[in-house]
Amino acid sequence: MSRLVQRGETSVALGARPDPKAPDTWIVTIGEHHHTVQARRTGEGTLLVTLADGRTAELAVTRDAQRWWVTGGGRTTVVAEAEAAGRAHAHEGGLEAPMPGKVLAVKVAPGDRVAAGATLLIVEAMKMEHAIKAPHAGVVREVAAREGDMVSPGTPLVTLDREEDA
Amino acid sequence: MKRVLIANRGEIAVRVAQACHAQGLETVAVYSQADAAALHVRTATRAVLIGPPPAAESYLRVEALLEAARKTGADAIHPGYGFLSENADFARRVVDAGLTWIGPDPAAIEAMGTKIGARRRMEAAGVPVVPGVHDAGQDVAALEAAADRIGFPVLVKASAGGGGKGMRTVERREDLRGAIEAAQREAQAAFGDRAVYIEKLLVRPRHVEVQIFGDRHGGAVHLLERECSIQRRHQKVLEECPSPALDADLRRRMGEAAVAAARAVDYVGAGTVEFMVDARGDFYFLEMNTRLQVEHPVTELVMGVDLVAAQLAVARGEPLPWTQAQLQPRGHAIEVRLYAEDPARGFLPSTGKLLRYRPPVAPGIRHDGGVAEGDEVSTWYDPMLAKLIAWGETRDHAIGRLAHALGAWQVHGVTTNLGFLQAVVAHPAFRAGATHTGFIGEHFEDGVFAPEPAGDEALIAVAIAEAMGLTRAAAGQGGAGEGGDGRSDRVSPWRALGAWRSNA
Repeated sequence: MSRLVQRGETSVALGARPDPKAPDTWIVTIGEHHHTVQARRTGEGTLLVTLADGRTAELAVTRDAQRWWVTGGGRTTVVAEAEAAGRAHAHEGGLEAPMPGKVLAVKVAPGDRVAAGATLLIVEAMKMEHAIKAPHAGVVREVAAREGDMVSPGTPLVTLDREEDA
Repeated sequence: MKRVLIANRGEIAVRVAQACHAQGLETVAVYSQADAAALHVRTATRAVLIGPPPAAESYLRVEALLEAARKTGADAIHPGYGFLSENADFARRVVDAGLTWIGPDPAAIEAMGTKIGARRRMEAAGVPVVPGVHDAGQDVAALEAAADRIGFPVLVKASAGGGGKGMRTVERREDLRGAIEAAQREAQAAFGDRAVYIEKLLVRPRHVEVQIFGDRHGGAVHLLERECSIQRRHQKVLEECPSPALDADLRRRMGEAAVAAARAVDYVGAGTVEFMVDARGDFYFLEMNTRLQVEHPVTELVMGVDLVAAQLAVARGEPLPWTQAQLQPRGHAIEVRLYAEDPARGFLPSTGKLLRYRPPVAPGIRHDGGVAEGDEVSTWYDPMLAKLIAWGETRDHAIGRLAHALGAWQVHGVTTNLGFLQAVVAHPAFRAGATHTGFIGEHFEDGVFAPEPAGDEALIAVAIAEAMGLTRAAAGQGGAGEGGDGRSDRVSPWRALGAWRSNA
């Protein structure tokens, strides 16, 4: 069974099956490439993986709703399912609350023309004020948040049309 | 002193409790409803609920803290850092209640407690201070005029501030009004005091602070300096001891200035005198922190001391455990702070459940943490989760140990700045010791940092873990509805029994 995961800007098919001829041996498919590796469970959530060239790492793997967290070989990597990564793109043009917090100030109104980097809203979280800035120049189509609103991640705040579209 | 109430949470509450237990003292944890099963509660020998999650209704409520002390028979209070640690009124209330305050006298906190007051006092004592205007009042027009006199760029700073809250860098005059208003709002929310002042922004300065310690017998020493230049938005990210920038002469002069500052206010206990050091090696008094600092472990490792143990001793009225001559540095220590924030999204705070949390274990590595696997990270409090400190015989040795330990730190489920810390530690400019307060902005394009795409090894591990069914259990725990299971286990009497037994 394979699944699509995100690798940088692109998605790649990922799958693994045990080698029926050799114990603790797996054939892993990453896109077009096949890797034959040794893998053993070593503890709660950990795998000892040895590649064909002898490179060995113990990796801790944890799964949450749509991502895997992997620590091993000197770094921690987050691998997202491609489908989940795709959902974020659906909100192109819309700006969402990046964290839970309270809207302290709304600096723009529908129809406003803003430059890239202009402050659109100020959200307070963890006792710090965070400016939500325009990712690109454009015209404000809609403002969905009001001062004093409590927002959680993903709450739409402002819809901004790109300058060239506007 | 038999039972110490720790008026704090997170890693510092855990750190203080451990120091108390090592001296045979009992501890009382206080906690908000959001922290019922938090690590600091699990570490203490007694625990008292003091209110709902907002800090203003729990950790900052003086009445609730004093009531908790009375109820549990605590005879001393350690404030940790942040919260009420530099609140002279709280210190006075503690003393008036007949309890031992583990910190400097209220008068010393007051003298140094507002940045404006401390600046005046240091100016009078002949200690150099950063050019600034601190008597302009809180009227925006007057503050603007003050900035015009000093010249841009300027810093807008909260008088009661710390941790970068209520502080703004302003490059252009047209941005000043907004910055003042934001700083005043932030200062009001964080410290209950909206006063701000204007200070000259030094170009490429280093932030170097000197640890000092005083007792009630006229003793006052310094314990070397800490270099805290690696900051993001005035929030420290990495600290080291000693500073790679100081030579023996500058170190001696700054140490003497810091001790003079401490003596000027009859300082008792642990304190820190912060200086800015410019490119020419001139140093300016910035502020004095009348408490233990977050980054105190780097001093402890290099000086071979336990600063919290010394705080307890001095609070009992004992003389300092060391003389200046006995305090000889050895090696080099570096600390990094793990924050629940997302470097790829402008370092915005992140939340979630720590599905896996395993700090590295290796020679020369110390972990001071406030969280444990299974904990929920919320936005109620400071986003710092833990600190990792590496000691080495030399700076390079310490860096090597730290770099390796960071790579093995398993923090899953909550986005953190871990990858960013690795990038800082790996940076050639950091390795060369070329640190200044603009380091992150200069080397990381205004603090933007995106993780590298997954490598083959990570993808291979994911594929096999999924095929083996290795990750199923963890995924189940991550579900919102099932969080209660892990949590109830941690507060079950069977867990707690271990701690009771070990005290017997």
